[in-house]
Amino acid sequence: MVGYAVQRLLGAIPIWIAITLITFILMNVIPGDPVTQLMDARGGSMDKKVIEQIREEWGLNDPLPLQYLHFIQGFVQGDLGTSYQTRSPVTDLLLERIPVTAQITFLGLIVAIVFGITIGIIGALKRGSWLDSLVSSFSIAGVSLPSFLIGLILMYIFAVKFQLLPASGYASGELKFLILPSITLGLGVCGVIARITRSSMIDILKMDFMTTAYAKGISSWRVVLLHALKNALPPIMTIIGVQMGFLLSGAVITETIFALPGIGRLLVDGILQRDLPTVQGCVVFITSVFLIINLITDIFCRWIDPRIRLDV
Amino acid sequence: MMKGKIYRIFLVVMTIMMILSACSNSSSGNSTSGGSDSSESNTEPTYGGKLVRAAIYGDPQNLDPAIRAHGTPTSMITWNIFEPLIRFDAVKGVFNPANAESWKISDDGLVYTFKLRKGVLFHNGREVTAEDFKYSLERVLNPKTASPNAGSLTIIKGAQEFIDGKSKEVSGIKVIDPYNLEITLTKPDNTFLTIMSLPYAAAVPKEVVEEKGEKFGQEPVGAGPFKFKSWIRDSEIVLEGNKEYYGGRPYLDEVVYKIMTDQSTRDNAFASKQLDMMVLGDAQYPKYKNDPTFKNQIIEVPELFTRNLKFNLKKKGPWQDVRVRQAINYAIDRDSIIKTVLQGKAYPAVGILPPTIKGYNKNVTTYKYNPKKAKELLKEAGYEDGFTLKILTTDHPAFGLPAVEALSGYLEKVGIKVKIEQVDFASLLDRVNAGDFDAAMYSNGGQTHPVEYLTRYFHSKYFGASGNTGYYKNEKVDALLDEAAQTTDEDKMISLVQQAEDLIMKDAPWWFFNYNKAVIVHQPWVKGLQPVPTDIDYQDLTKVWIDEKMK
Repeated sequence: MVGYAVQRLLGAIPIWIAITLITFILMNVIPGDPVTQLMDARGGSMDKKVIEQIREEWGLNDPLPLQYLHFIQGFVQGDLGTSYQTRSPVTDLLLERIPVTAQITFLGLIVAIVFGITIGIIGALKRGSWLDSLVSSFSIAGVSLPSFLIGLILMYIFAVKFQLLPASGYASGELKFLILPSITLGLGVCGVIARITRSSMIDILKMDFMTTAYAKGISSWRVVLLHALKNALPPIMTIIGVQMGFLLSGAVITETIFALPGIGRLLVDGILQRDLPTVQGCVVFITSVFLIINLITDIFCRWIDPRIRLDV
Repeated sequence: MMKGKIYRIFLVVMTIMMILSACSNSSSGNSTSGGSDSSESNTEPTYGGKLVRAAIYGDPQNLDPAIRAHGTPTSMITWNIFEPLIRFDAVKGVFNPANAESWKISDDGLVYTFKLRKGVLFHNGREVTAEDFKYSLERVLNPKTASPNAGSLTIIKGAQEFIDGKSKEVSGIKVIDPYNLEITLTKPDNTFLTIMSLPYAAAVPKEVVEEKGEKFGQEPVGAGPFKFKSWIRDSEIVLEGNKEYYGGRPYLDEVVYKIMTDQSTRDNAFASKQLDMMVLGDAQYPKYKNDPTFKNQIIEVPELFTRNLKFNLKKKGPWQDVRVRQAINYAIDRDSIIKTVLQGKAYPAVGILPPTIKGYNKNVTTYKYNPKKAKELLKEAGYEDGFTLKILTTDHPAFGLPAVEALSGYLEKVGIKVKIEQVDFASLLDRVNAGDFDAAMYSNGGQTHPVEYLTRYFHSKYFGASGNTGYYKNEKVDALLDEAAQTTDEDKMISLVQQAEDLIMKDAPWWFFNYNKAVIVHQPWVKGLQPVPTDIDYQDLTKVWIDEKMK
């Protein structure tokens, strides 16, 4: 298993290179100069001489391939460069923000899994009933309502109307700031999980071994959770793995609405301000998370169902 | 059967929600009537209290005033942490002593002598001396600092040689003794005092800068009325009142800047009283303006920004003809666009200089909506059948796509077809600076001195990215502005500025659109806010206090 993991991660090196190269090219192709971004966005101006000096200082006058090589050189040594806008090392910026994004993604994932699987099971067990319809419409609403709308509705109800939770903001270690964002993020994903759980469970519930289990007199909740759900899990796990991507991209919007200092906002600000080192840092981070989560999902599926073979 | 049940559940849920919202409505109604009871409020400022305000332009990224260009996102914070030699009271239009208790300008306008106040302390406890100002100004000029503000200090004698590495220090900055600083300019310049009042011209403590290195911008130390306390990136910055401030302890113990770029987020935070004050975005304005609850909680001011459609005079095209540019100014009904598209959140740009700047002239040559005259001018210029005008713009609500769409309707009526090209802000900056456009919607301004305001955007010495991005050139204007910059007689300066403005208006290098209407909405317990025209976010926080009795 460890050998498999190492092999998979080594195999990902070309992916890292390709993605950073694409980012580098895109950031250089789009118009917008990082140096003029230092000006006041409301209408400042800068002397040409000063602009030239700063470009020289930052190595922006080097040929592009050389600039990329400099980046790779640093990257291999664990140095992602210095942000143009903050003049701090990009690794510091990432480290500051990773906890926030990690927390809301993780809590959002829990919300999605708990709600998604529960309502999926209810839907499967009460198939065709009004409860099933209600659950289905709930999951469709979760998928189709944009997360900024869900976020604003939650904010309005819980922060403005009843003033139970803060409308936005962040303080490290305080859960109350993370509740609404996590629910917002989780609701968007839980619909998909619910639908997959429901259809996967329906397939399993039809199988002969289920009849056997009931016939043996095992209590029905044990049949459902231990026998049916365990067998229905692999497709659900796979979809959860895929949905992690959605969670990370959803985090960008959620972080903006709730004014949370996470990776998503760092990335968006970086792009708008043409802060290439910051953008590269975020891209490297997000790519790594994707690769690792995919790997974990595969290993987990194999653990649940030993018939699945792990091929490199 | 099934549908009936769902419907019943739906009804129950809706009823519950309506009851709940009715309850909370009545409670909020009570609190407003309690709040407006003025008999309980304090009239004398009280100490202690915390102000939570919104930083709407995003994270300032770095609070080292040398590193970031002087502009709202940073200066609204750094002006409180750092203490410049002098401060500009934009409401009254006068310079006030700050770290310097007085200053003298030589008769030829070249030598500025600042007499520093004794006992001004950095937040680390050390006294600020003239040596610190010399160090700080040279630091901005040093190419290693890569400061976007370096250009404006090159008017100091010897600065250019220092930048080019020809000298180790700037010959024009002389420390006479710890409390006397003498700065010599290359030529007289009326804008120099303004520059010396900006955060990047304030003193930074050398030992802290050297110790913290790149981290100085993350944990800044100055000598201003507030000390830096903490920073959660992209979330909030906290300053605390500096009890040792030479001007006396500020009323506020704490100022929190909540970084909130999303308008709905700010609305919700304000409604839930998480925010004490915020500057309104364009889309938020009507909501607060039309709600009588906020009648006494809104402050409005014409800000020093002139929004315009600039023509690129370096490029060939019908706009090279002054009559065509004048025709465009006559053809568009700016007042209507401001009323309908901008919902009144702007003041019509009658001239270039907004009413809140010294030298404003209400009788300047201007263009009233007159499509007939526009057609005549176009006919004279030989464009009776019109032409196509490409306009570069962003999605900005006040000087972007909505306004361009509105104005193109007017232009089509006089035969000019408009082709709109929409880009993001970074691309707009880049292309306008590079001269890669025919006509572009833009916002210029921020300068507090009228000479600087006009010179930046219309003097030919600032062609291109330095400010005059439309490559407008009129030798008479250049001469008038040069003279205005050097005269020591203020009345003469104003008269020269007004002559220059009038000439520019006649040449119509822009379509003059609007001055920003800056609006603050605040909770009833926030006292001492002012309509600051340079930028309403630049509040003098030493004057602001919280009336706890109204909370």
